[in-house]
Amino acid sequence: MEKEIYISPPLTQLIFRHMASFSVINDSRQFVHLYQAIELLRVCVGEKKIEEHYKKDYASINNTLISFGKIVYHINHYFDLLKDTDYKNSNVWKETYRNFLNALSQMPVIHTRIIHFFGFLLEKTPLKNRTIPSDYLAQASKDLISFETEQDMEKKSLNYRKQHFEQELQKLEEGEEKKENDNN
Amino acid sequence: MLIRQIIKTKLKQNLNREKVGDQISSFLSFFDIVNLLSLKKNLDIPEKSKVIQAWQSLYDFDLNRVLNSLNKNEKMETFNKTFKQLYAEDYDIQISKKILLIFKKKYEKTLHIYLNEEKIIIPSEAPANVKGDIAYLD
Repeated sequence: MEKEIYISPPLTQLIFRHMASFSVINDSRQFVHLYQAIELLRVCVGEKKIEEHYKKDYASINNTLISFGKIVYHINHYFDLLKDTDYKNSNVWKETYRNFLNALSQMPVIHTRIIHFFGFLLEKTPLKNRTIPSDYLAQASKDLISFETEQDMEKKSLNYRKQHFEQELQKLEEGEEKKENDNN
Repeated sequence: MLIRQIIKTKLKQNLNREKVGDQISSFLSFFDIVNLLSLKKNLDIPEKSKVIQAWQSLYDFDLNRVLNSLNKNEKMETFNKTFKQLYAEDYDIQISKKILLIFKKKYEKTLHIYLNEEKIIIPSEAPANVKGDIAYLD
Protein backbone atom coordinates (compact mmCIF):
# COMPACT_ATOMS: atom_id res chain seq x y z
CA MET A 1 0.00 0.00 0.00
CA GLU A 2 1.22 3.47 -0.90
CA LYS A 3 2.35 5.54 2.06
CA GLU A 4 0.21 8.62 2.63
CA ILE A 5 1.96 11.93 2.10
CA TYR A 6 2.17 14.12 5.16
CA ILE A 7 1.48 17.82 4.65
CA SER A 8 2.22 20.11 7.57
CA PRO A 9 -0.66 22.32 8.84
CA PRO A 10 0.93 25.65 7.72
CA LEU A 11 1.49 24.27 4.22
CA THR A 12 -2.05 22.85 4.12
CA GLN A 13 -3.34 26.27 5.12
CA LEU A 14 -1.36 27.95 2.36
CA ILE A 15 -2.54 25.46 -0.29
CA PHE A 16 -6.16 25.89 0.80
CA ARG A 17 -5.84 29.67 0.64
CA HIS A 18 -4.66 29.46 -2.97
CA MET A 19 -7.43 26.99 -3.76
CA ALA A 20 -10.00 29.33 -2.23
CA SER A 21 -8.79 32.14 -4.49
CA PHE A 22 -8.73 29.76 -7.45
CA SER A 23 -12.39 28.93 -6.77
CA VAL A 24 -13.67 32.42 -6.06
CA ILE A 25 -11.71 34.81 -8.29
CA ASN A 26 -12.37 34.06 -11.93
CA ASP A 27 -11.09 37.10 -13.81
CA SER A 28 -7.96 35.15 -14.89
CA ARG A 29 -6.20 35.72 -11.55
CA GLN A 30 -7.44 32.25 -10.63
CA PHE A 31 -4.62 30.92 -12.82
CA VAL A 32 -2.06 32.67 -10.63
CA HIS A 33 -3.44 30.86 -7.58
CA LEU A 34 -3.76 27.59 -9.44
CA TYR A 35 -0.08 27.87 -10.38
CA GLN A 36 0.90 28.53 -6.76
CA ALA A 37 -1.22 25.62 -5.52
CA ILE A 38 0.30 23.30 -8.14
CA GLU A 39 3.84 24.32 -7.22
CA LEU A 40 3.18 23.65 -3.52
CA LEU A 41 1.46 20.34 -4.20
CA ARG A 42 4.33 19.38 -6.48
CA VAL A 43 6.78 19.81 -3.63
CA CYS A 44 4.57 17.69 -1.36
CA VAL A 45 4.15 14.85 -3.88
CA GLY A 46 7.77 14.83 -4.99
CA GLU A 47 9.37 14.65 -8.43
CA LYS A 48 9.92 10.89 -8.23
CA LYS A 49 6.20 10.10 -8.12
CA ILE A 50 5.45 12.58 -10.91
CA GLU A 51 8.20 11.07 -13.08
CA GLU A 52 6.90 7.55 -12.40
CA HIS A 53 3.39 8.57 -13.42
CA TYR A 54 4.19 10.63 -16.51
CA LYS A 55 7.16 8.52 -17.72
CA LYS A 56 7.99 9.71 -21.26
CA ASP A 57 5.72 12.74 -20.87
CA TYR A 58 7.59 14.02 -17.82
CA ALA A 59 9.69 16.51 -19.82
CA SER A 60 6.61 17.61 -21.72
CA ILE A 61 4.59 18.28 -18.55
CA ASN A 62 7.54 20.27 -17.22
CA ASN A 63 7.53 22.41 -20.38
CA THR A 64 3.76 22.93 -20.05
CA LEU A 65 4.31 24.15 -16.50
CA ILE A 66 7.02 26.55 -17.69
CA SER A 67 4.58 27.97 -20.28
CA PHE A 68 1.96 28.21 -17.56
CA GLY A 69 4.45 30.12 -15.39
CA LYS A 70 5.00 32.67 -18.17
CA ILE A 71 1.25 33.15 -18.62
CA VAL A 72 0.85 33.64 -14.88
CA TYR A 73 3.68 36.20 -14.90
CA HIS A 74 1.88 38.34 -17.52
CA ILE A 75 -1.47 38.08 -15.71
CA ASN A 76 0.17 39.09 -12.45
CA HIS A 77 2.01 41.98 -14.09
CA TYR A 78 -1.18 43.29 -15.69
CA PHE A 79 -3.20 43.18 -12.47
CA ASP A 80 -0.36 44.71 -10.45
CA LEU A 81 -0.34 47.76 -12.69
CA LEU A 82 -4.09 48.02 -13.03
CA LYS A 83 -4.90 51.45 -11.68
CA ASP A 84 -8.61 51.59 -12.43
CA THR A 85 -10.64 48.97 -10.68
CA ASP A 86 -12.68 48.15 -13.74
CA TYR A 87 -10.69 46.10 -16.20
CA LYS A 88 -13.43 46.45 -18.79
CA ASN A 89 -11.89 49.84 -19.61
CA SER A 90 -8.33 48.62 -20.07
CA ASN A 91 -6.06 50.38 -22.46
CA VAL A 92 -4.86 48.38 -25.47
CA TRP A 93 -2.10 50.93 -25.95
CA LYS A 94 -0.23 49.47 -22.99
CA GLU A 95 2.08 46.54 -23.47
CA THR A 96 1.02 44.91 -20.20
CA TYR A 97 -2.54 44.67 -21.48
CA ARG A 98 -1.45 43.22 -24.82
CA ASN A 99 0.74 40.69 -23.02
CA PHE A 100 -2.21 39.85 -20.82
CA LEU A 101 -4.42 39.24 -23.87
CA ASN A 102 -1.67 37.16 -25.42
CA ALA A 103 -1.40 35.11 -22.21
CA LEU A 104 -5.15 34.51 -22.20
CA SER A 105 -5.05 33.34 -25.82
CA GLN A 106 -2.41 30.73 -24.91
CA MET A 107 -4.28 29.47 -21.87
CA PRO A 108 -6.83 27.24 -23.65
CA VAL A 109 -3.99 25.29 -25.29
CA ILE A 110 -2.59 24.07 -21.98
CA HIS A 111 -5.60 24.41 -19.68
CA THR A 112 -6.84 20.79 -19.92
CA ARG A 113 -3.34 19.46 -19.25
CA ILE A 114 -2.78 21.76 -16.30
CA ILE A 115 -6.11 20.83 -14.69
CA HIS A 116 -5.35 17.12 -15.15
CA PHE A 117 -1.94 17.59 -13.54
CA PHE A 118 -3.61 19.44 -10.68
CA GLY A 119 -6.07 16.54 -10.32
CA PHE A 120 -3.21 14.04 -10.31
CA LEU A 121 -1.34 15.93 -7.59
CA LEU A 122 -4.45 16.23 -5.44
CA GLU A 123 -5.19 12.55 -5.83
CA LYS A 124 -1.79 11.76 -4.30
CA THR A 125 -2.40 13.86 -1.19
CA PRO A 126 -4.85 13.54 1.73
CA LEU A 127 -6.23 16.98 0.81
CA LYS A 128 -8.57 15.45 -1.77
CA ASN A 129 -10.86 14.25 1.03
CA ARG A 130 -11.02 17.61 2.76
CA THR A 131 -12.76 20.88 1.99
CA ILE A 132 -11.61 24.49 1.80
CA PRO A 133 -12.60 26.31 5.03
CA SER A 134 -15.45 28.76 4.41
CA ASP A 135 -13.41 31.56 6.05
CA TYR A 136 -10.85 31.30 3.29
CA LEU A 137 -13.56 31.51 0.63
CA ALA A 138 -15.02 34.60 2.29
CA GLN A 139 -11.60 36.24 2.51
CA ALA A 140 -10.84 35.43 -1.13
CA SER A 141 -14.07 37.09 -2.23
CA LYS A 142 -12.75 40.41 -0.86
CA ASP A 143 -10.29 40.47 -3.76
CA LEU A 144 -13.07 40.40 -6.34
CA ILE A 145 -13.35 43.44 -8.58
CA SER A 146 -16.72 45.02 -7.89
CA PHE A 147 -18.81 45.67 -10.96
CA GLU A 148 -21.72 48.00 -10.72
CA THR A 149 -24.88 47.08 -12.54
CA GLU A 150 -26.76 49.75 -14.50
CA GLN A 151 -29.42 49.73 -11.79
CA ASP A 152 -26.80 50.44 -9.10
CA MET A 153 -25.39 53.31 -11.13
CA GLU A 154 -28.87 54.76 -11.64
CA LYS A 155 -29.56 54.50 -7.91
CA LYS A 156 -26.27 56.26 -7.16
CA SER A 157 -27.02 59.07 -9.57
CA LEU A 158 -30.55 59.54 -8.15
CA ASN A 159 -29.19 59.57 -4.60
CA TYR A 160 -26.61 62.16 -5.58
CA ARG A 161 -29.29 64.36 -7.14
CA LYS A 162 -31.53 63.91 -4.10
CA GLN A 163 -28.69 64.95 -1.79
CA HIS A 164 -27.93 67.95 -3.98
CA PHE A 165 -31.58 69.16 -3.91
CA GLU A 166 -31.83 68.61 -0.17
CA GLN A 167 -28.72 70.72 0.40
CA GLU A 168 -30.06 73.47 -1.88
CA LEU A 169 -33.40 73.42 -0.05
CA GLN A 170 -31.65 73.65 3.30
CA LYS A 171 -29.63 76.64 2.09
CA LEU A 172 -32.79 78.39 0.88
CA GLU A 173 -34.57 77.73 4.17
CA GLU A 174 -31.60 79.01 6.13
CA GLY A 175 -31.49 82.14 3.92
CA GLU A 176 -35.18 82.80 4.49
CA GLU A 177 -34.83 82.34 8.24
CA LYS A 178 -31.91 84.78 8.24
CA LYS A 179 -33.96 87.34 6.30
CA GLU A 180 -36.86 86.99 8.74
CA ASN A 181 -34.52 87.45 11.69
CA ASP A 182 -32.95 90.51 10.06
CA ASN A 183 -36.40 92.04 9.41
CA ASN A 184 -37.43 91.46 13.01
CA MET B 1 -14.79 16.19 -2.15
CA LEU B 2 -12.39 19.06 -2.76
CA ILE B 3 -12.85 19.11 -6.54
CA ARG B 4 -16.61 19.06 -6.05
CA GLN B 5 -16.39 22.04 -3.70
CA ILE B 6 -14.22 23.96 -6.17
CA ILE B 7 -16.68 23.27 -9.03
CA LYS B 8 -19.62 24.27 -6.84
CA THR B 9 -17.96 27.55 -5.80
CA LYS B 10 -17.00 28.32 -9.39
CA LEU B 11 -20.52 27.68 -10.59
CA LYS B 12 -21.88 30.09 -7.98
CA GLN B 13 -19.35 32.70 -9.04
CA ASN B 14 -20.15 32.04 -12.68
CA LEU B 15 -23.76 33.08 -12.09
CA ASN B 16 -22.88 35.96 -9.76
CA ARG B 17 -20.45 37.53 -12.21
CA GLU B 18 -22.89 37.12 -15.07
CA LYS B 19 -25.44 39.10 -13.09
CA VAL B 20 -23.08 42.06 -12.70
CA GLY B 21 -22.09 41.98 -16.36
CA ASP B 22 -18.60 40.55 -15.87
CA GLN B 23 -18.61 38.32 -18.94
CA ILE B 24 -14.88 37.54 -18.79
CA SER B 25 -15.08 36.02 -15.31
CA SER B 26 -18.26 34.21 -16.21
CA PHE B 27 -16.65 32.61 -19.26
CA LEU B 28 -13.34 31.82 -17.57
CA SER B 29 -15.05 30.10 -14.65
CA PHE B 30 -17.07 28.06 -17.13
CA PHE B 31 -13.86 26.86 -18.83
CA ASP B 32 -12.43 25.85 -15.47
CA ILE B 33 -15.62 23.96 -14.65
CA VAL B 34 -15.58 22.14 -18.00
CA ASN B 35 -12.06 20.84 -17.41
CA LEU B 36 -12.51 20.18 -13.69
CA LEU B 37 -15.56 18.07 -14.47
CA SER B 38 -13.44 15.75 -16.58
CA LEU B 39 -11.59 14.81 -13.36
CA LYS B 40 -14.84 13.30 -12.14
CA LYS B 41 -15.93 10.00 -13.53
CA ASN B 42 -18.60 10.04 -16.25
CA LEU B 43 -18.94 13.78 -16.17
CA ASP B 44 -16.96 14.73 -19.22
CA ILE B 45 -18.90 17.25 -21.30
CA PRO B 46 -19.20 15.83 -24.84
CA GLU B 47 -18.64 19.20 -26.48
CA LYS B 48 -15.53 19.98 -24.40
CA SER B 49 -13.24 20.37 -27.40
CA LYS B 50 -15.69 22.75 -29.07
CA VAL B 51 -15.82 24.87 -25.91
CA ILE B 52 -12.02 25.05 -25.75
CA GLN B 53 -11.87 25.95 -29.46
CA ALA B 54 -14.37 28.76 -28.99
CA TRP B 55 -12.36 30.02 -26.02
CA GLN B 56 -9.21 30.05 -28.10
CA SER B 57 -10.76 32.03 -30.94
CA LEU B 58 -12.16 34.52 -28.46
CA TYR B 59 -8.69 35.84 -27.64
CA ASP B 60 -6.64 34.91 -30.70
CA PHE B 61 -8.11 37.83 -32.55
CA ASP B 62 -7.02 40.47 -30.07
CA LEU B 63 -3.30 40.33 -30.37
CA ASN B 64 -3.07 40.01 -34.15
CA ARG B 65 -5.39 42.91 -34.66
CA VAL B 66 -3.66 45.02 -32.02
CA LEU B 67 -0.17 44.39 -33.35
CA ASN B 68 -1.24 45.11 -36.92
CA SER B 69 -2.91 48.33 -35.92
CA LEU B 70 -0.20 49.59 -33.57
CA ASN B 71 1.96 51.12 -36.28
CA LYS B 72 -0.82 53.42 -37.34
CA ASN B 73 -0.35 56.97 -36.19
CA GLU B 74 -3.60 57.11 -34.37
CA LYS B 75 -4.22 58.94 -31.16
CA MET B 76 -4.52 56.69 -28.13
CA GLU B 77 -8.22 57.34 -27.55
CA THR B 78 -9.14 56.87 -31.21
CA PHE B 79 -7.06 53.73 -31.37
CA ASN B 80 -8.77 52.25 -28.31
CA LYS B 81 -12.17 53.12 -29.70
CA THR B 82 -11.40 51.60 -33.10
CA PHE B 83 -10.00 48.47 -31.50
CA LYS B 84 -13.03 47.95 -29.27
CA GLN B 85 -15.38 48.56 -32.16
CA LEU B 86 -13.51 46.11 -34.39
CA TYR B 87 -13.54 43.55 -31.61
CA ALA B 88 -17.24 43.95 -30.88
CA GLU B 89 -18.21 43.71 -34.54
CA ASP B 90 -15.89 40.88 -35.55
CA TYR B 91 -17.85 37.94 -36.94
CA ASP B 92 -15.61 35.22 -35.42
CA ILE B 93 -15.78 36.80 -31.98
CA GLN B 94 -19.55 37.09 -32.14
CA ILE B 95 -19.88 33.46 -33.23
CA SER B 96 -17.49 32.26 -30.47
CA LYS B 97 -19.43 34.19 -27.86
CA LYS B 98 -22.72 32.77 -29.08
CA ILE B 99 -21.36 29.21 -29.07
CA LEU B 100 -20.10 29.66 -25.52
CA LEU B 101 -23.37 31.14 -24.32
CA ILE B 102 -25.29 28.22 -25.82
CA PHE B 103 -23.03 25.68 -24.07
CA LYS B 104 -23.20 27.60 -20.83
CA LYS B 105 -27.00 27.62 -20.87
CA LYS B 106 -27.12 23.97 -21.92
CA TYR B 107 -25.04 22.73 -18.99
CA GLU B 108 -25.92 25.13 -16.19
CA LYS B 109 -29.12 23.30 -15.18
CA THR B 110 -27.53 19.86 -15.31
CA LEU B 111 -24.60 21.11 -13.25
CA HIS B 112 -26.86 22.55 -10.59
CA ILE B 113 -28.73 19.29 -10.31
CA TYR B 114 -25.47 17.32 -10.04
CA LEU B 115 -23.95 19.64 -7.50
CA ASN B 116 -27.03 19.82 -5.33
CA GLU B 117 -27.50 16.05 -5.55
CA GLU B 118 -31.04 16.49 -6.74
CA LYS B 119 -32.76 13.99 -8.94
CA ILE B 120 -33.80 15.13 -12.38
CA ILE B 121 -37.59 15.29 -12.33
CA ILE B 122 -39.13 13.97 -15.49
CA PRO B 123 -42.84 14.82 -15.65
CA SER B 124 -44.98 11.74 -16.18
CA GLU B 125 -47.10 11.70 -19.26
CA ALA B 126 -50.71 12.67 -18.72
CA PRO B 127 -53.27 9.90 -19.28
CA ALA B 128 -55.33 10.41 -22.39
CA ASN B 129 -58.53 11.12 -20.46
CA VAL B 130 -57.00 13.69 -18.13
CA LYS B 131 -56.53 17.18 -19.42
CA GLY B 132 -54.67 20.08 -17.85
CA ASP B 133 -51.69 20.23 -15.52
CA ILE B 134 -53.15 18.19 -12.67
CA ALA B 135 -51.63 14.95 -14.00
CA TYR B 136 -48.14 16.35 -13.51
CA LEU B 137 -48.61 17.18 -9.85
CA ASP B 138 -47.52 13.83 -8.46
